[in-house]
Amino acid sequence: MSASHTSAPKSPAGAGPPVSILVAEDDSVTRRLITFKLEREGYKVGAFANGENLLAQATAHPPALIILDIMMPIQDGFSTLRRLKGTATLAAVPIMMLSGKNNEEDVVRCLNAGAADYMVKPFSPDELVVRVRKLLPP
Amino acid sequence: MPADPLPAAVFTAAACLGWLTLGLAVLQYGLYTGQTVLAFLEMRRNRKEERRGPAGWIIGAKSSPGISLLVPACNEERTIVQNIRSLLTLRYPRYEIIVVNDGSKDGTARAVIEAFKLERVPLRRPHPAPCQPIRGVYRHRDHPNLLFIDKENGGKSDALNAAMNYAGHPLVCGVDADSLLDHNSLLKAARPFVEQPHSLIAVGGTIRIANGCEVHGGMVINESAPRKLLPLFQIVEYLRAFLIARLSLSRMNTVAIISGAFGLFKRSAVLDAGGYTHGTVGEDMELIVKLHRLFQARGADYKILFVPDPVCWTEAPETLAVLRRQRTRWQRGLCEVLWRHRDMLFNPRHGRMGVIGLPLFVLFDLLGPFLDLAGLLLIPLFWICGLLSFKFMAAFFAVVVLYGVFLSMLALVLGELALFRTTRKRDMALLALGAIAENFGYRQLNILWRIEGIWQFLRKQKGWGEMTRTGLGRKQPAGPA
Amino acid sequence: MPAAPPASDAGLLTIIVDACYVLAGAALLIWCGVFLVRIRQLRSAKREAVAEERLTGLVLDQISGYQPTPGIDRFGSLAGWERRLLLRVLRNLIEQTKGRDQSHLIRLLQRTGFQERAFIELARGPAAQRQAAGEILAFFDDAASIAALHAARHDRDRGVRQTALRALLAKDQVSSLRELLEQLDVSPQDPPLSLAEIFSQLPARLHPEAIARLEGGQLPPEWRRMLAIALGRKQVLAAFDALAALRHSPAPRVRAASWVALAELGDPRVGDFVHEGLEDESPDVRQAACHCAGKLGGPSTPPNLARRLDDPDWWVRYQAARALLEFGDAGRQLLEEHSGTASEEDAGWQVLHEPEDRPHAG
Repeated sequence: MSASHTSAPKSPAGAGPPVSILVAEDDSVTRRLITFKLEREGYKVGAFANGENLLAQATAHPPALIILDIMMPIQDGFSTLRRLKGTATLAAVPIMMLSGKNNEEDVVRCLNAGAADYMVKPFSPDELVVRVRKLLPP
Repeated sequence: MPADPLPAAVFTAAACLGWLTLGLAVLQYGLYTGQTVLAFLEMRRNRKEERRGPAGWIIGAKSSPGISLLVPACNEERTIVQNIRSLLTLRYPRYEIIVVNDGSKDGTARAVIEAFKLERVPLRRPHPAPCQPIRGVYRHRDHPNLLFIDKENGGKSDALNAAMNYAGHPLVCGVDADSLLDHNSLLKAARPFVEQPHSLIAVGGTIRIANGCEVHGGMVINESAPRKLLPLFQIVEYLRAFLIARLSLSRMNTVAIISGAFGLFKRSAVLDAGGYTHGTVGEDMELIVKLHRLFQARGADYKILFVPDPVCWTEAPETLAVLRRQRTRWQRGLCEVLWRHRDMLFNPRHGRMGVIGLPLFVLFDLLGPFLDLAGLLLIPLFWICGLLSFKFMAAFFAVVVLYGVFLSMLALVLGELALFRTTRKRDMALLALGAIAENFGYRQLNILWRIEGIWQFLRKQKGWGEMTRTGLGRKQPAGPA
Repeated sequence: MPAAPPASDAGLLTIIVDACYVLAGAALLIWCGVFLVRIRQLRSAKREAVAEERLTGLVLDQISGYQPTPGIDRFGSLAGWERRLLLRVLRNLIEQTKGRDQSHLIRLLQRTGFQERAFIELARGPAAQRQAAGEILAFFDDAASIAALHAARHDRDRGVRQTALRALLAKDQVSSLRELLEQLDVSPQDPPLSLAEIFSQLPARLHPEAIARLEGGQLPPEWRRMLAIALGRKQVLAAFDALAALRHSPAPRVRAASWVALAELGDPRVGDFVHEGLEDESPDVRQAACHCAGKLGGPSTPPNLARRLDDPDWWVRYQAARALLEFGDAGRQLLEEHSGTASEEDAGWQVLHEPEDRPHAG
C-alpha cells in the first residue's frame, strides 16, 4: 500500500534539483489526483497510504513540504503532524493538512500544533497547487 | 434373539426414549434451519440498506450523531497505550474515547498518563449510573477527544458505568481494551441510528477472531485463517452464533445479547435502565434484557438491532483449559441473566422478548446441552444393550453430525457473503475443513462445558475465572453465548 | 415381542438419514459455488487494482485539458467491468474536488456516456440502479438532467425520490415545502437525521412557507423540532415569532428545541420571556433555556438564572452557572456567592474551576 508514485519531474520548477513533497492520504484515487497535480508542476512526489509510512520516508530523506490527510488508518494525520513537529530534523518542514471534516476545532487544533496551512475537502486542486507553491521557500 | 431376560416394557421404554431424543434433536435442528433462513433474509435486507444508505453522508454531515467510546481497562499496562492509539484513528467524524482505569494493580494509569502527557483536571460529573469513587480525571489539550478516568476497582460493569457518566455524546459504545475495532466499524454501526434515531436503542456488531491475521498498528491488515485447530473451530462457531443466531433474532426484534466487546447504545436509554448491573458475569446480556424489559413496559416502539458488518476483532483462546474457563463463564452469565429475569419467561406482558427471545435461550442453551448429552450417551448405550437397532443409532448420528455440517457450511457461506474480504484459496479451504471437523468432537466438548457452567451456576460459584494471557497479552472478551 | 423397532420406523429412519445426507451435500455444493465465485473475485480484485490505477491516470490526463476529444476513444473500448470502475473513479474524484477540475470531470462524465445511461436507468432500472442514476444526474445542471430529476420525484421508491429531492434542493429547484415533505415521505414519529440535514439546506425561497408550517401546527413534533433548529441555525430572523410560539408546545422535546433555536437565532427580544423556560417542568427544557438565557438574556435575567443554581437537576445547575458567567463580573459574583463553600461535585464549582475548553459540557 505504500507504493509511491514517484517519477521524474517533467519540468523542474527551478534550475536546481526537483523539490520533494510527501503526501499521506488513504483514498487511492485522491492520492493519485494530488500526486498528478503536483508532479505536473515539477515537484518530486512521494505518496503514502498512512502516516506511519510517510514518517519512515520523511525521517530518511527530509522533504521540502508534507501534505497530510487527517482521517487515516494505522496512524492518523494529526498524530503524524505531532510526531513530525517533535522530530528535530523535520520540525521546520511546512505541513499542509487536508481533511474531510468541516470541523472548526480541527482547523484550530492543527494550526496550533504547527501545521502551516489547512484545506477542507472537497478541495480545488488548482488552489492546492497554489498554496503549496506559496508555502515553499522561493 | 436367543434368551430374552428383559421384559417387553423395557424395549418399549427404550424405543420411546430413543424416539423422543431423536425427535427433539430433529426439532431443535429444524429451528436452527428456520433461523438460518431468517438470517439469510435479514442479511439481504441489510445489504440493500447498506448499499443505498447514507454511509458516505454521515462523514460530512453536521447532524451525524457523536459517539463516546467507553473503554474499561484493568491491568492492561502492556497493551493499553497501543490500543488507545489505534482507537484514535477510527473513521468517524465526531467521537471521543473515555478510558477508565478500574483500580489496576499494575502501571496502567501511569502508562496512559505518560504516553499522552495527560494532566489532572478538576472535572466532575454526576453519577446517574452507580460506580465506585473517582480518583482523578485526566486529559490534555492536544487530545481533546481522549479522557482518562482513574477510579477505584469495581469490576467491568462499574468501569463502564463510570465512563458512561462522563460521556458527552448521545451514543455510547462499550469497547474492550483488548479488542480491535475495524477502521469503519463506528461508521457502519451508526448508520441504523441515523435512519431511525428515535426508536433504535442499541446496535450490535460482529465479533471476529483475529488469530492468524496480520495485525499492525492496531488494525487487522491481512485476514487469514489460523493454522491452529481450536481457533479455526471457534471462527466457524462465532459465525454460527453471530450470523445465524443473532441475525435471525434481529429480524424478530428479539436480540438478547450484544457482545460487551462491541455494541453501540443510546446513552439516555442505558441510563434510564440504570446502567450496567454490578456483580453479574454476563453484564452485556443483562443490559439488553433490562432494556427490553424497560421499553416494553413503556409501551413505546423500540428496536434493538444486530448488523453484521461493523466488525470488532478479538483473540480467541488457543488452549483447551482457557477455552473451557471462558465457556463455563459465559454459560454461568447466561444462567444468571435468565434466573434474574425469570419472570419475563413466557410472559406475554413482556412482548416478543418474553414469548420468543428468552424461551429460545432456554431451549437452545439450557435444555439443549442436556438433550444433546442424553442422546449422545443413551442411544449408543441402548444399541450396545440391543434395545435399539444400529440403523436407529446411525440416524441419530446423521442428524447430529451431518446436520451440523449443513449448518456450519451455511454459516460459512453467510460469512463469505457478509464479512470476509481478502481470504485466500487456502484459507477458504481450511475454514471449510474446520466447519466439517468441528462436528466431530468440538461441539460435543462444548456441550460438556455448557453443562459444567450450569452446574457451577447452581453451586453459586462466582467470579470471573483467571484468564491466561496469550502472545498479544489480551483477555478474552465476552463473545457469543 | 418387539426385538427391534417396527418396519415403518425403519423407513422413517432411512428418510432421516437420507435427508441429512442431502442437506449436508447441498450445503457443501453451495459452498463450492461460493468458493468458485470468490476465486474469480479474488482474481478480478487484483486486475481491478491495476485497472483503477490506469483509469485514474487516463481521467487525470483528460481533465488536464491538453488532450482534445479524440482521447475519449480510449474510454470507448472499455469492457463492462472497466466502465463500472471508471464510473467509480469519476464519482470519487467529483466528490473530492471543486472548482475548475470538478467541472472538467463532470463534462468527462457526460462525454463518456454515463449521463446518457443515467437517463435510461432512471427511467427503467431496478430501484438501486435508479437511485445511483439519480446520484449521477445530481452532478449536472442542464435542463434535461433537472427534468429527469423532477420526474424522479414521483418515483415509487422512497430512496429514489429522496435522492432526486436532495439534488433538486441543492439546485434550488423545489418550489414548495409541502410537496417536498410529501415526496420525501419520511416517518412522522421517527424521521431519519437526513431530514434535519435537508431542512438545514432549505433555500431562502422556502423559508416563508417553513415559518408558516411551523406556526400552523400540522407538522409532527419530531419534524417541527428539526425544522425549528434548522431555521435557528440559519438565522432566519423572520422565524422569531414562530420559534417563540413553540415554547408553548405540549411536547417537551419541541419546547427544548424552541430555546435551542432561539439561542442560535440570536434575536435579543428573547430576553423578555426567557424566564418562562427557566421555570419549565422538564429539566431538558430548563437546560436549553439556561443556555439561551446566557447567550441573549437581558438585565433582568441573572437573578432568574441564580435561582436555577438550586435546581434539583445537576445539568440545569451546571448550565445555569455557565450562563451566569456570560454576564461578566456581575454574573461571576452571583455564582461565587452562591457556591462559596461548594465541593468538587457542585455544578457551580465545576463551572468556575474546570478547564476552559470543556470537553463534556452535556
